[in-house]
Amino acid sequence: MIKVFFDGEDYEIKEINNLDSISKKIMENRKKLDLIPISSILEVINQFSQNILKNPKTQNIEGIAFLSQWFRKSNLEKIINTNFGNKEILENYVQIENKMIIAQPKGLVGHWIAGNVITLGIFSLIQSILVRDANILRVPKNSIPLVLELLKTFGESEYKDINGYDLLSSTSIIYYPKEDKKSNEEFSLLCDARIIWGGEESVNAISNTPKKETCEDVIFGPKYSFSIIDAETVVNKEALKKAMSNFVYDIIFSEQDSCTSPQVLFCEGEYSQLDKVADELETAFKNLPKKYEKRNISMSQASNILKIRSEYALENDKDLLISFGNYWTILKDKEMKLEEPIKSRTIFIKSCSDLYDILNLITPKIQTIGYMFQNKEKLIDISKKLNLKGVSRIVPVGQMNYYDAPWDGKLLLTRLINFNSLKLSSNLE
Amino acid sequence: MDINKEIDFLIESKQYSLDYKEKEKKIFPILLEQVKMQVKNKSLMNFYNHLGPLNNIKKIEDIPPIPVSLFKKKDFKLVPEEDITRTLTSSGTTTQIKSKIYLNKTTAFRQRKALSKILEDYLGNQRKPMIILDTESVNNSKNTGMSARGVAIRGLIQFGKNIIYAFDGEEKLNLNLKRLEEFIQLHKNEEIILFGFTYIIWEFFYKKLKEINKKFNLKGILLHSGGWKKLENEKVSKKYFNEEIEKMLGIERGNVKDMYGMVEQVGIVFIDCEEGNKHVPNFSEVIIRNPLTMEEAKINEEGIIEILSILPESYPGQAIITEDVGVLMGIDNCKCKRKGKYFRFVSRIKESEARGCGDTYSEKIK
Repeated sequence: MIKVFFDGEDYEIKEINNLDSISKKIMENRKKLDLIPISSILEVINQFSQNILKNPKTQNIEGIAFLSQWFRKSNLEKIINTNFGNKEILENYVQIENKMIIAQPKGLVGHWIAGNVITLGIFSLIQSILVRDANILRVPKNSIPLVLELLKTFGESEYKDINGYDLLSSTSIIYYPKEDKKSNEEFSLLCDARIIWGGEESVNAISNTPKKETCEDVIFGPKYSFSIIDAETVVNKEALKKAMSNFVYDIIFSEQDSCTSPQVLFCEGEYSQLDKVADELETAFKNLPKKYEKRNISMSQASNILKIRSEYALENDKDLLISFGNYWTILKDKEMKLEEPIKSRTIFIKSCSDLYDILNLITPKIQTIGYMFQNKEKLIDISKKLNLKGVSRIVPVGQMNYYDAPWDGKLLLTRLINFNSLKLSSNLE
Repeated sequence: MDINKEIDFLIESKQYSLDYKEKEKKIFPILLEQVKMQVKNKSLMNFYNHLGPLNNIKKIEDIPPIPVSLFKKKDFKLVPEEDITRTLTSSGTTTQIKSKIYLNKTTAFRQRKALSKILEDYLGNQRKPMIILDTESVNNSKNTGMSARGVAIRGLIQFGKNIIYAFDGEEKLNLNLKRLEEFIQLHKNEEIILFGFTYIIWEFFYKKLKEINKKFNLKGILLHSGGWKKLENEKVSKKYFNEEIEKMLGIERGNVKDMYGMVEQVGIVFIDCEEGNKHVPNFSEVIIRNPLTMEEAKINEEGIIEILSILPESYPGQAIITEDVGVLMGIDNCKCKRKGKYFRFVSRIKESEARGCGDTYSEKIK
C-alpha cells in the first residue's frame, strides 16, 4: 500500500495500490511545464526563496537560510550555466559545432530521499522542475510534514500569472515502508531517471530494483568528509580563531549526519600545537548562538559519545576537551586515520607533520574536504592531488555543507535531460 | 574511616532500609575512597585526570562512570595477578566480545554475601526446593573462569534445597521431563523456587512444554534474568511472558519476577517488587542519567542506567554506566516499603538506524 501526501493537486492523504493513475496524471500535467519559459520558472523559485524565510512554519528549519540563498534566481542561473553553459538550451536549439542541440526532459524522475537532511528532497525536486521533468518523491516518514510545508510555500509563490502550483502539478509525494518491495519495484519501473540519496543499504536495495533499460541512475550514496589546516594557520592566532568559528558550523549542521559533515580535522604541526586548535574550537562551541544549542540526543548517540570519551581518557597519549553533558566533544591524538563517525558534535583532531600524508587516506568514499590555508600555492597543489584521487569537493571551512554543483562529481541537471539534436541538411543551413 | 568495616556493615544490614539521603551520606565517602584507590592503575589514573579530576568530586553524581563496554576492551585489574581468584565473563551475545571481570577473594566474598542479602529480602531465609531451568554443566567451572550464567546460578542455589537442573546436555539443552515431574510430585504441596535465563525459559522450556501440551500447577516463585533482546525480536513482552508462564506453570504472574543485573556488577541484582519496581540495595546506588545533560533524570523520565557499587575491590566497578535505558519511578515511597530510589528497566539502547549518506562505517572507509 502506498500513501500519497500530494498528488500534484491536493494534499488529501490517499492510500493506493499502485502508482498508475498518479503517474499518468503527473505526466499529463508535465506537458504544461513545456509551455512555461525558463525565466518564469526561475522567478517563481526566486519568490519561493524569499517566502520560506517569511513563513513561520518554515523559517526555523535547519539550513533554511542556505536553502533560501540557493534558490535565488542568480544562484540558479549559475547552476544552469555550470551544467549547460547557458539556459537557452533548455528552451531552444543551440548550435554546437555542426549540430543543433536541445536539452529535453527525461520524463518521470523518481527521487528516493534519505532521512538525514530534511531539505534534501527539495533540492532534488527543484532541480528536476528546472529541467521540466515530472517527479515522484518517496520521502521518509519523519520528513514528510516539513517537506509538505515547504511544498505549500512553493505552491503559493507567484510570478505574474504563474504560481508554484503550476510547477508542482507534475509532482507527487509518496511514502511506503522500505519492506514493501512490490511498491518499490513498481515505482522504479515507472522512472525515466532515478535519484537515490541514502546509506549503503538503501542505495543497494534501490539500485538493484528492476528499472527501464533507458532509465538513468544518479546515486548519492554514503560518503565521508573531513577537514585540514595548514601549518601557517595553526600558528596564526587570528586566522585560527576565524577558521574555528566557521568550522563549528560545519560540525553542528545536521549533527554531523550528512555526507558533507566533517568527522576529523587534520592539523599540520606538532601534537602539542593541537591545544591551540582545540581551545579555539572549544571557544567557538561555547560562543554559538542559543538557537544552535543542541536540544536532543538519542540514547545510542549519548552512549557512543561516553564510550569514545572514555577510550580517549584512558590513554596517556590522547587528550580530550568536552562539554559538561554530551553537547560537544573534541578528541585529540596523532594517529593518521579516518575515524568511525561518532557524530552529534564529536570531532577528532589530529596532528600530522606533513599534510600530504592525508593522500594515503583518500578513497572514492571521500566527498568533501574543508580547508583553512594561508598558503594558496600549497592549497592548489595538494587539492589537485586530492581531486585526482577522487575527492569531490574542496571548500573553505564553514562551507562544507553548502549544496553545490557539481555534487559528488556529478552535474545533476545534465543527468535529468536528454541532449537531443537536429542536424540541418545543407540546403537549410 | 575504616572503609572495609563500613562496607561489611552495609552488606550485612537489612537491605532497602536506608532512605536515599541517608544512604548517600554513607556510601559516597566509601565510593570516593575506592575511586582514589583505582588510580594505582595507570589507565584509570589517566581516566580520572581527564574526566574527573578527583578533587572535583563532591557528590555521587560527580564520579565519572566507566562505560560497561570498556570492560570488553581493557583488562582492568586493581590487585596483583596472584590475588585474582576468579575471572568472570559476560555472555557476549551482541558482539561476541566478552567482558572480563577479575575477582579477588574479598570482592568475591562480598558479592556472594551481598547477593544473598538481596535475595533474602525477596525469598525469605528458609531454603526451598529449587528447579534450575538450565543444565548443570554451566555451573561446573573447571578452572577459575566462569560465565555470567554460572555465576548467577551459584548465587541462587544457596537459597535452594533438593536442587534439580531441568536440562541435560552442554551445547544443546535437553529438557529432562521425567526428572522434572518426579521433583514436582515430591514437592507438590511446597513452595518452590524456579530460576533460569529468560531466553532459555522461553525458547527451551515454555515452547517445549507447549509443544507436548504439558501444564503444571506449581506454588512459588519464578526468577528469571538475562534480558529481553531475543524475546523482543519475537514480540514477547514482559506482560505476555508472565501471563503465559502463569497459564503453563500455575505460578501467579506477580510471582514471575524479572531480575536485572550484569556480570560487571555481580552481587547486585534488581528484582521486581510487588509493585513491579526495582529497588537499590544499601551498598549500591543507581543514577538514571539524561542522555544530553548527563544529569539525573527526573521521575518518569527515561535515561541511561548507571550502577554504583561499593562491593568491588579488584576491578573498577564503583561507577559503571550501562547500555540500558531505565526510568526512575520514585524515591523512598514505593508501596512495597523498600526505601531508596526505585526504577524500571525499559530496554537495551538500540543502535541508531542508518538514515542517510552520513552513515559511513569503518569497512567502507578503509
